[in-house]
Amino acid sequence: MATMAGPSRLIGAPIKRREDPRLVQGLSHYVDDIKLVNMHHCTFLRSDYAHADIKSIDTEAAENLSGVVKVITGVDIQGKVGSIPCAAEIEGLKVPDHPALAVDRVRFVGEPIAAVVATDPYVARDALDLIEVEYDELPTVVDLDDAIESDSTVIYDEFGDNIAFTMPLDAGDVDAAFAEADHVVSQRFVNQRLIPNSIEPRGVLAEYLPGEGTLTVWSSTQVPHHLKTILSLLLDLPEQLVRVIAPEVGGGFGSKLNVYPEEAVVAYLATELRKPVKWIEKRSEGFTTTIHGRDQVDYVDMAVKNDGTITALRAKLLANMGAYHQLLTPIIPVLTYLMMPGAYKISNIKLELIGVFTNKMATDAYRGAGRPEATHIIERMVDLAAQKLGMDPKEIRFKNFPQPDEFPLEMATGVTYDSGNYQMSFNKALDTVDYANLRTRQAELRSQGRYLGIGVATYAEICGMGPSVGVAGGGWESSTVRIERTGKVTVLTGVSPHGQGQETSFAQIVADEYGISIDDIVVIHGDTGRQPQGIGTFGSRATAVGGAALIIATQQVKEKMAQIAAHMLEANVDDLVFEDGNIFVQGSPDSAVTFADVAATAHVAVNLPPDVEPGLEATHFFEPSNFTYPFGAHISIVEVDPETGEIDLQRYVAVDDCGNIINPLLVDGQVHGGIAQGLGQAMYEGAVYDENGQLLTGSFMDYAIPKATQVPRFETEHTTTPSPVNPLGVKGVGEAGTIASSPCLVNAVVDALSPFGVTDIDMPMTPNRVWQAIQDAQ
Amino acid sequence: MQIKSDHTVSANRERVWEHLTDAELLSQCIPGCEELKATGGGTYEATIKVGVAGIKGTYKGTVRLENMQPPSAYRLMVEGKSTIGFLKGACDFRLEEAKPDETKVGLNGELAVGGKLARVGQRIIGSAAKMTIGQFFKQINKLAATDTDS
Amino acid sequence: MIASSFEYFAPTSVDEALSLLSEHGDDAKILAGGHSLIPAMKLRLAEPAVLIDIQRVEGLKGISESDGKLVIGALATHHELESSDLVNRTLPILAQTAGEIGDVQVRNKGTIGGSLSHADPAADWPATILALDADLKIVGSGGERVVKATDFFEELYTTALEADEILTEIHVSIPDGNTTGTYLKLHQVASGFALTGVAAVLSKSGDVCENIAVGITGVSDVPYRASEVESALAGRALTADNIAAAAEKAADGVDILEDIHASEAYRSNLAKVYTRRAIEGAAS
Ligand SMILES: Cc1cc2nc3c(=O)[nH]c(=O)nc-3n(C[C@H](O)[C@H](O)[C@H](O)COP(=O)(O)OP(=O)(O)OC[C@H]3O[C@@H](n4cnc5c(N)ncnc54)[C@H](O)[C@@H]3O)c2cc1C
Repeated sequence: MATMAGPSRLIGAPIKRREDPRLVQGLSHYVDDIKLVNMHHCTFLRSDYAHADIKSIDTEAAENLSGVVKVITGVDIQGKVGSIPCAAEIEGLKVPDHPALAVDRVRFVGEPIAAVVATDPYVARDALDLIEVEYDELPTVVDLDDAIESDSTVIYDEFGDNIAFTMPLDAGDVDAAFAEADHVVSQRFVNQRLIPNSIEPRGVLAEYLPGEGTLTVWSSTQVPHHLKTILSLLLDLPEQLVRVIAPEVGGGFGSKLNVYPEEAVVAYLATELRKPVKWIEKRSEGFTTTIHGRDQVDYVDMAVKNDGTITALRAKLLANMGAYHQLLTPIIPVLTYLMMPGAYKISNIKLELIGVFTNKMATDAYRGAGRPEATHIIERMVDLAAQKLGMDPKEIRFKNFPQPDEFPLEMATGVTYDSGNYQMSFNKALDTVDYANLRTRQAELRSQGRYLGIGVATYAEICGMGPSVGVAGGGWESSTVRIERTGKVTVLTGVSPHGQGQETSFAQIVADEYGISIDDIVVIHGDTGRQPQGIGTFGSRATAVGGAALIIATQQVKEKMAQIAAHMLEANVDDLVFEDGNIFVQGSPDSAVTFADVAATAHVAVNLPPDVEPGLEATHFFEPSNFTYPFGAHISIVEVDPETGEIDLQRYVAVDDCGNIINPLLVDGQVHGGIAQGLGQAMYEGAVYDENGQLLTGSFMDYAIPKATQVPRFETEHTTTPSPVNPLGVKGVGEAGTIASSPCLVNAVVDALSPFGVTDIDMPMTPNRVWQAIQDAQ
Repeated sequence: MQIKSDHTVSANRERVWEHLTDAELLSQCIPGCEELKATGGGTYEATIKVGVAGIKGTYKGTVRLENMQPPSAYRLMVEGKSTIGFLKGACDFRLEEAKPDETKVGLNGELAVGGKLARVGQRIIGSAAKMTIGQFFKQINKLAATDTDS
Repeated sequence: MIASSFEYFAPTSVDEALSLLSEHGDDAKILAGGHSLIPAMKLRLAEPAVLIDIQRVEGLKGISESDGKLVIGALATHHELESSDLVNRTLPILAQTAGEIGDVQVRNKGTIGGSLSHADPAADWPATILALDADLKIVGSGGERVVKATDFFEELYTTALEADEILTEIHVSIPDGNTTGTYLKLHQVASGFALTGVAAVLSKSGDVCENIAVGITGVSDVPYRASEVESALAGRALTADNIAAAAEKAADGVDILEDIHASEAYRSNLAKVYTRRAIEGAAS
């Protein structure tokens, strides 16, 4: 087989992102940059109430406003636009009907009630103020603990309570382990609700051509293929005639891994009006109606022995679903459940995961999706146990890590970790910060009344989302490689990058395999009309699954090229080398055929070997045998001002093992962004709802995301433990930074304040919270 | 949100009661009140322009007086709605004779706001409410005192 | 974020602006740097029917020295104040305050006059303007008047400015070499505004504090002079203990704000700690 390539030059090289020149010059096209002739504009009227019956909606004044083309309410589209779907399959899951526009009841602030279409966006906005809605307010359900009490208001009468599902686990003998424990540590954690804020808000443009019957939808989405299928179902259109294009997408972090009411309504309006219709989300709309992340209250107990051995874990996890299920809402806390043991061998685990409905926006995947919650729990519990035992947080971790030769390792929660060497990454992090010296310095400073804190988090996470049994909607990915007649290479991939840089890394993979210049390769994505099959980008899966599909398709085409080249050179296929744009017999570079010549021969098709078809193209579908389990160790150093509670983050070291690295620049970029978001959760961010379900943090004036000046310089290092579950040996790194950093920072602040007797602090660790924790501990 | 404050009006309790419960006088004292129309049973339809600085909204809604115990106590219920949200409040008013021609009015109630008002205004709503109530009593004081003089 | 429609005027003189103001009355709003007004308009919290953009009024611009006073035009931007040589030489606390406001974009567009007129309870300028005992020059249809900083801030977002008046200049006496000042602030991380901002200006003879003025913002509905702190320290030695004891009075007698970012107890603590540190900074 002709798999010999020249020396690998690009895989592993820090190639600058090929996407960036167009982005930094403002030359790329987002949904709002696309303008069609006769395009109309849509706005949505949204509920100001968290829970209310709609008594009446008067749209007359809005309809009479000059420029308004149509106003629709929930009743108008009943039976015409299907219920917004949830793809989760969980035993006993209660799935409420989720109309695209509320019909007779609203269940969260921001829920769309009516849509206006006008000839210009200003009129469409003005018309909203003219719609009169009369409500009958209902009692609200906002608090997770209260929502599951028997006397709570019930959001869905037909369900009888607010419990969407429960998922138990009882592995090993937890009761015995607790009975025999030397110590038990217990803690309640609030993993606060976060509001994803990608730099580009959501947006949809839809065009319907009645003659052809085709619907084309441009949407700022991470999952164009899912959106295509679901829109065809929601609107009852033949799937073959629906095309979804994700043009340039300005970030998503999971919030665009969804199918939203606005996508369905805008597509419906385009078919109904036979005019292109556009909706661009306003930032203030995004705060209330783009999915939120996290939002759990977790009650956890851990059993430990005097020597630091963790013998059992017991937890009740309350996960806030919000008012409706979005695409994957109930699945997210299941990832918490699966990853509860983190990087430690704990064989006795008892869990009760409860999904809870409340009158808030739905939660769903947000960078890390379920794993930051798990990591927070286990990393905080391990520190609490160490504190109780008087043990260094470092020692307790080494004590409970599995050994490298134990992988693949089946965990008590049912997952099997693919590969790992936790000692290696942790040692590297400890060496980088000179841990022993740091502790000495901390003691010195304490004697001067200064509070230095050292935070450690050693994590293991689950990503590379596949196989299909574990991923709603399919855990595979598809890639196509086509060599054009001119020898240029087109890569079509089903993943849908929106900042991850696969236009660069995928080209690196192909360039190396073919021994050609990266400039001869174009990576196309995000268009169901060009790459008909795919799943999308989320769960740090694009390279582990889509890249794996790509390398196999690349090799399939290469094999065919080698046959044609061998025919042209009158050589043996197995002796051929692909290098510098040429194909030649090893050792005879002077009598080569060019890559482009072979491509031309394949297309002209008059000099093909027997039984070889014309053309050079292959599509491969790849489904991994397992998830991947990246891991690593993060260490942060903070100093806390006990008078004001201000935290000075002095140093942040991240050692991540994401398997083989295709492009270290991209990997570091992902780690940087990931840590920034974890830092956001640890220190700044938190959606606050009042007791009536009103969102109080509805703008950037009150909801703080970390700004460039608020993040420190990150020191990133790596270890490399390839994954056995895909041919590239990669794991995924999109979320690791977020998963590890929030517990790492909380551990640091708690460590700093341990002299005051502080043992835990809720996130975000605002100066007020930190100061209060000190007051309360004294 | 809790509303709790004490105010002193330089007039006797009956006169203050009258000012606090008479539609015509109330409409002169409620800051930004553009209309207050009795619809019976202690209920009034109101149009009130409230807010601070340039951030003013016109609220349409109802004002209702309940639990009338002249001249010492009643409960005021307010509900209003504008394009930027809604507000809803219930407040107990307690009137006490402090000295002759001086009445103490104690307020104790709850105010809830919703919509954009809550989403972007959380940090100032308490202060704005306090300020509006302050202005209200300033006006009551002025009117009640003027009446006494005349 | 689409504002309601409005009429737009761009006068080039104060007189023209004033006559537009009196013509349109309550419907009109002055537009300076737009960094408070425009966000409110985009959210439709404010829907003025008429905008009178004063940015082309030359007479409201610039920073100069006259009769021992620094004369700051209402349209001077935060950035101009931060970077002006004259300001940095004569009253560095003004430059220091400007540097704490928002971010680069906000400082490039926002004006001192706009900030003072808007009177956000967490804005930075009020603290320093109070501590410097500035005079604010105001013109209206009725003519010109001067209001002392201590009389300017009346209530939440409410100043001595009448609806038909424009703030034109801020006058600050240039102190002698014995006077020093410091502005210290804890930023509310989301908005950048002050959870607490303290401006301390003092003069000393030897170790003894002769005069002291402390302006505090972010703590109450209205920025205030911490007069209890001032009287506790004036005429006394600037020792660490004296400063700390005086600073304990920083929130005495004021109604303290409480919101989702800071409790009443925490804000009160911040006022004390930041007052102590600002005085220590000014005294050192
Ligand atoms: C993201 C962001 C962060 C910010 N952070 C801070 C911060 O940390 N600290 C801080 O102090 N401020 C902050 N600001 C506010 C900023 O300083 C504003 O620029 C300032 O408050 C208003 O000045 P302006 O020139 O932009 O006024 P405008 O927005 O144009 O006007 C504000 C108000 O004042 C009136 N007005 C303006 N000029 C005059 C005048 N000469 N006479 C009479 N009335 C007038 C207007 O009619 C309007 O009502 C921030 C703003 C933003 C957008």
